Amino acid sequence: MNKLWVRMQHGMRDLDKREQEREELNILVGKNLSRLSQLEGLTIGLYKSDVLPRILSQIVTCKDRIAQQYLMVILIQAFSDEFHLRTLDQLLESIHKLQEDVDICSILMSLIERLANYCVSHMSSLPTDVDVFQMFLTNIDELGKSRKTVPLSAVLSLQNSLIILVCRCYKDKPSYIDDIYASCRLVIESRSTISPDDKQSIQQVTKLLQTPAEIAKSIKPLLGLKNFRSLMDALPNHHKRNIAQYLVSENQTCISNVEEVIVLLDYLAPITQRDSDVNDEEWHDYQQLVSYAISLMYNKDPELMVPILQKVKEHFLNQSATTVGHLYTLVPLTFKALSLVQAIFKKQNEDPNCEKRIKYVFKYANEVISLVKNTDIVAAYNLYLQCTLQAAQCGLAEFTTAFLNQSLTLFEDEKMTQSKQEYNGLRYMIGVVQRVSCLDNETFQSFAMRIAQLSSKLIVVELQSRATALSTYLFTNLPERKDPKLAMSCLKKAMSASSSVVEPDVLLHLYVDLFDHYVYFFANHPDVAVEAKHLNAIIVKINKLISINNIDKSHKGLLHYRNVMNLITEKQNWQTYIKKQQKKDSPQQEVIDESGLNEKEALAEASRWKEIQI
Amino acid sequence: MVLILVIGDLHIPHRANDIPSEFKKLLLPGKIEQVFITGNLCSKEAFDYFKTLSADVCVVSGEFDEPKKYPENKVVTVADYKIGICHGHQVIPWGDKEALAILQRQLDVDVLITGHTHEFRAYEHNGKFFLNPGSATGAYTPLHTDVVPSFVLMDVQKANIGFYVYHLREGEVKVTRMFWSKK
Repeated sequence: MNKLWVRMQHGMRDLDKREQEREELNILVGKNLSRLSQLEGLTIGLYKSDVLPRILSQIVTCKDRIAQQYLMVILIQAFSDEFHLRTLDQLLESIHKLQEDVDICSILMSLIERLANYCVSHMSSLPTDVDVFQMFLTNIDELGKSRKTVPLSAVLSLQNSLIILVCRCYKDKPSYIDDIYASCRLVIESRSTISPDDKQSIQQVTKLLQTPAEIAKSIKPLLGLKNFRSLMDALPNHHKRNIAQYLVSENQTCISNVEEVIVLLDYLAPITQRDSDVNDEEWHDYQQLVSYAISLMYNKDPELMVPILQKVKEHFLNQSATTVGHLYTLVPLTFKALSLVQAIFKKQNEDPNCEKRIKYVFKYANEVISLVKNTDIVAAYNLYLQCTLQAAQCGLAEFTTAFLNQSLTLFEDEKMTQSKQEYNGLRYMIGVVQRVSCLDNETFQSFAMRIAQLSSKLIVVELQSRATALSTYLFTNLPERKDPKLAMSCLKKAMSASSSVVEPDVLLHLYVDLFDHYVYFFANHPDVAVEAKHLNAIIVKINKLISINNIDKSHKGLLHYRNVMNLITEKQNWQTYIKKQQKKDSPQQEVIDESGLNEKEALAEASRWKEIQI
Repeated sequence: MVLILVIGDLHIPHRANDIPSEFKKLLLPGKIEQVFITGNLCSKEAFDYFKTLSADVCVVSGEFDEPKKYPENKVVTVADYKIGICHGHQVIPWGDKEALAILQRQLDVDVLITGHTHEFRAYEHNGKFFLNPGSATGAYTPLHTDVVPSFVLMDVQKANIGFYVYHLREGEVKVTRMFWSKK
């Protein structure tokens, strides 16, 4: 039949008729082959020794491109994948002997795909006496070397189907992926390089690098490979960076040991050093990706986490290897360190080395922050305060003091002044220190007084007044170490500073805010000795300001004022203090305020408030 | 009915990688009318993500956001309710009910939304409502351990506001519901 075919090729003149006859012959041959495959007596042994060799010899010897193409395809389709598995060596050998212009790639690709599917659907491993993978790889190598007319992208696409075979059928042999990468690298080199215009090849290499991660849904398989980097390096710069981006953003893999960290950092080299073709916006985005990469690095065992922290710090401080800005690396590292401290502290009862470990990590954090301060003083300042608070939570008075002192030193640095963030900074420090309970009274008080002093020295008077008012809360932070006198003195200072504010608009807001602070202490800390007379004096001041300056009714300060007055009115009503019913709305709703006083107490409290003249 | 997403303290990428995928699955574009972010995003990418959910995104400044990028606080009127948003690190003592009440009076709002503590809170105080959606990413805070990722969806209607609170515990999203109306 084949001979008839070939003769037909040269005999017929009419193209259409020839095509039609070819089609019919095609079907005939196909039917015959498939009938052959269905023969009951056709065992694999018989197929291997008799049937296949004859078919193959026919195909090879006819030396006709179209016939060879069609027949190989039909052969592969007609016989079962199990048969192909057992005769792979013969098949591959013959495929090599096919004419130069036969599309070998598509034939090989269909074979590889079929076998991969077969393996997956039959859940069995490929026969161990036959190294299917090695056969295919050798074949593809041969192809790449001997058939120069085959485009690079076609060879690479073959490698892609092979990699899918490996990922699905040889899960326990990750070195096979490495072998594929090495082979790809070689074939690329044999064609000298990948041209930036060769989009197909670039796409194929990208796929090669990403497929193992995509199938495993994790980048871990890629981290154990020796040849990943060298294949990635074959890509043009822009595409190398895309791979690095993929590694970080397409997965939620947790990188949990130092070895993996080292490898990942190496793979991220395209985005940790700024290439010349990267603009500012892109560079920011790449640096941001590095921050994400760091956030993936985590191990809950402190013994394993500490080396990770050290390695990453080391890597990014090496200016010859990386140019990523410190803010993108050192800030996330600081928070990783603080989370680690918290995790270690949580297990303090089980861990005899708890304190030692925590101190080590705090020292690490301190080193890291000291490098941040050269780039961004406000960020470093905030980080020192975070450390202060964490150290306080761990009950480490010495470290709390040390970190707080670091913050204070930065606060008084000239760069802080230039940043115009002094009020915000001071306010943040007050918020932090207000929460600190591990210091002895003397140390705490000296810090509190220093902060109050710094507040009183702020240049903008309005801010001076506000910061001083907030400092008041430092002197009432713990019941056992209240200092009512100092608290009162802060309030008074805040009030007197406010008198230097000139703008009525600003002053109204300030007066009402201070008024509300006074009311807070009147309500919650009676020992601070805020009395009705103080409140009355403020009310007089506010009313005077309003009438003199003809403040508009809709002014927000007036709305606030009205709200405070309403509060006072309510507090003057003794019934406000009687125990309230719990609202029975939904089981999850938080309980409504239940400040319960008996009638006598309620009347006493209300009368205290009644002295305020609203 | 106005559906508002209340969310914050993500700290991406300093302290967290991304919003949990279990949450992202629930946040679909087109369903949410407004987004209120309590602050500490801290990246542009995080902001852009919320822009894909709704065109109306309101952010206030956390202490780790870029200084001066967002306002200190904001007041929005929805139906009959005046709603105030502020990060909360400015309110001292942090998380203190009476101190937060000062802010509520200052902004003259019915509902005050703050963040900073990384802990969900919802309660009524002196006839006003106070809400803290917690941290959507479960980000680290020195204030306490075991931060549970959470956020809130507010359904503002004439009669009342419905609060749908989402927590992520051991890989599962748990939803609780509560209602509040002003007197």
